[in-house]
Amino acid sequence: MSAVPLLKQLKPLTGGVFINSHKSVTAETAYQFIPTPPQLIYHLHNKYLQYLPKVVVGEQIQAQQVIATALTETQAVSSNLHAALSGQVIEITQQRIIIAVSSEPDLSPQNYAFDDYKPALLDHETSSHNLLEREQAALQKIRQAGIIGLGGAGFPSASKLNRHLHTLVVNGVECEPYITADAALMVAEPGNILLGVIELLKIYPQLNSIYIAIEDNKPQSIKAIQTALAQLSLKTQYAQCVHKIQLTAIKTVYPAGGERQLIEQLTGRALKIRQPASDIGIACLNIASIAAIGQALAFGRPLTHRVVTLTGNALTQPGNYYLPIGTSFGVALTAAGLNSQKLHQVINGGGLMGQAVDMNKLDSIGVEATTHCIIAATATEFAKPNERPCIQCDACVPVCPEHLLPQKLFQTNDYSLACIECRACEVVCPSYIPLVDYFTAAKQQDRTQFIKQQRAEQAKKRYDARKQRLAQIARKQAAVAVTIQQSTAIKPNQSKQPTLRQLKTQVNKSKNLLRQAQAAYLQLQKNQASTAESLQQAQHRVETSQFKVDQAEQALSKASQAK
Amino acid sequence: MIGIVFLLSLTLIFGYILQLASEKLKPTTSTLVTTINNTLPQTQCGQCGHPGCKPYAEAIAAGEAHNKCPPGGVELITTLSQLLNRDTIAFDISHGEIETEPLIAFIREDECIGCTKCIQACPVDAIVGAQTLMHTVIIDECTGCKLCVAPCPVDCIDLLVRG
Repeated sequence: MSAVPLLKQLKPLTGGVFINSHKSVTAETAYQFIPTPPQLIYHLHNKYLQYLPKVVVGEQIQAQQVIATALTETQAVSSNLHAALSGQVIEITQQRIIIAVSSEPDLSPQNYAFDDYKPALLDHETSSHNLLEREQAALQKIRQAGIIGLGGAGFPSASKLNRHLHTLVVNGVECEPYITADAALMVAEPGNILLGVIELLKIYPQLNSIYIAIEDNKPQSIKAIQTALAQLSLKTQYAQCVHKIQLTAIKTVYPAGGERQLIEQLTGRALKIRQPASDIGIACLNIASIAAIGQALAFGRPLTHRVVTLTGNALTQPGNYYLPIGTSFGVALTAAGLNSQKLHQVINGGGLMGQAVDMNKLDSIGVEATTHCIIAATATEFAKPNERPCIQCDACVPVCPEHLLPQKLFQTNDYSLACIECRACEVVCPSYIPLVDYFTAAKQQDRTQFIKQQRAEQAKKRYDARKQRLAQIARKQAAVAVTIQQSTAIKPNQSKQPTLRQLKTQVNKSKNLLRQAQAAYLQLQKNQASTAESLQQAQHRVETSQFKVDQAEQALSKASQAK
Repeated sequence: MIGIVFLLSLTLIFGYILQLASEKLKPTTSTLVTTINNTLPQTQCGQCGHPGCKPYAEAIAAGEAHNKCPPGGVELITTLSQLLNRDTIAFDISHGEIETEPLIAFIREDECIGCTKCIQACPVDAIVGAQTLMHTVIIDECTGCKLCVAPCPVDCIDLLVRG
């Protein structure tokens, strides 16, 4: 058996810290099994996906049945949740689905030995049209199998793959303290990892380099992969594939296994801030995701189990365990020999980036696909001295793998989008300042501020629009009123009340008329020639004028009284 | 000697130009109103006694106290004090309690009788519905101003904390 040579890493990581990895307790032994858990708890939300239940309460379900689906914007399946074991659905809420398990688990993951593999599928002469179809089908299979980034991020794996890839990075660099789940997988199932790689090569024959990166403090894992590769290269039909695979030992430093860091170390290409690796034709997938992809593409097996590191000083049997996804933290830790007297806190994740879990809810939190480590810590294990003021020592600057200035950010209460929140700066801080907590808080604050501002802007626009609309309606109504008035103004308005001024002029006018009538009457009386008839007429005029004056004066007095 | 005179005259000329500029190019009230309006939370709730945020901004620019905005709270008073170079004053509680969390209106749709009164009251057109038909609130547009609560004849509108 010829040993596969180890490739040297191209560019050692700038920055990073050497830390006590706490890995010796669980390191590099094959995983163990736990007794069948009584319940499985599936959480319906993660960082990137929101699942909708596909089952109802009381329904009997089989192992590997789809119980929830996450949809893309175009209503296509972007990921599925599968029941790991068969049983009955007993609870569905917005947050989770609980299944009461009824069957014995089928705990026999086989390491694939490539004995009955169909080499015909590796045929590179298929037409490009065929290839396109095959790619779409394969991506669909990966989505339906519910494969997401098992290294902890949970990014849907199919979204990382496309036809423009030239490099595949298989990330076996498990740099965070306490975690050894990937190492255990590499020791136990190297064949399955290679199966995943070859399945991906089948759909992307244009991939010209494949790096399998492993930390140099894991000789067992390296050896396991090396042996499997050597065995594979003996089979002639795979020689071409094996030729492309380069096994690389990465210098042990935290955080060498970050996607951006690893790509830079292997290819020398640095990603810009927030730039996805697929932009430069590279896909970086966790080793467990690759194994799951292999299972999904070769056998149609969905993601239902995963290896989880159960560790911490409060466990009597720390180690790597093969758990059905959905197993509650309580059950898992009990299986690993939990000493509840010593238990002080439970951390979901690794020793640095992990999140503390509510101790009262251990039985209602289930292992998710992204859960790679659960630490049952004693009181002293994660005790940190109190925070002290920053002494501006700049110790955090050289360790930042993203070349940021954490101290500057801290002092200006700022944050950077480039920060990968690896907490390397906190490890070296002599004042024990939880720098990343400050950065995330600042980021959160900025984000809420931004949202608030956007809302205000929107409300302002709508308020102005409404005002404009109301003004327009008012204008229209006024115009309608004017036209109505004009149309009615043709007939004199009888009912309209005359004003006081009008009444006064009326009185004056009638008085004038009366005076004229009286003067005419007197003249007629003086004039001898006037007839009796004309005199009578003049008298009548005087009388009617008098009557009109009385009437006008009455109206005036009435109106002034009313006022 | 010539140098001194030359520089002195330059100083005077530029000083005069600057003086002129500061007089001619004074920030107009409308830009001041816009700046104040931009700092206001735009809930259009009218709790300050004005029919919206912009009218209140105009009033502040005209000299009214800047402590009457419950959604803005103490934070707004500090910002405005800095902006307007005024003293930081305590919040005027006669205009309501300071709102620490953003609110949204929620119509209990079973109880809604479809009277459209809340639609007319909404300052940002965030309620949809029609006569005798159920109404509902567009959550993204709602500012939580509470103006729809009072007109509702069946009291089917709740104010919830925006989740």
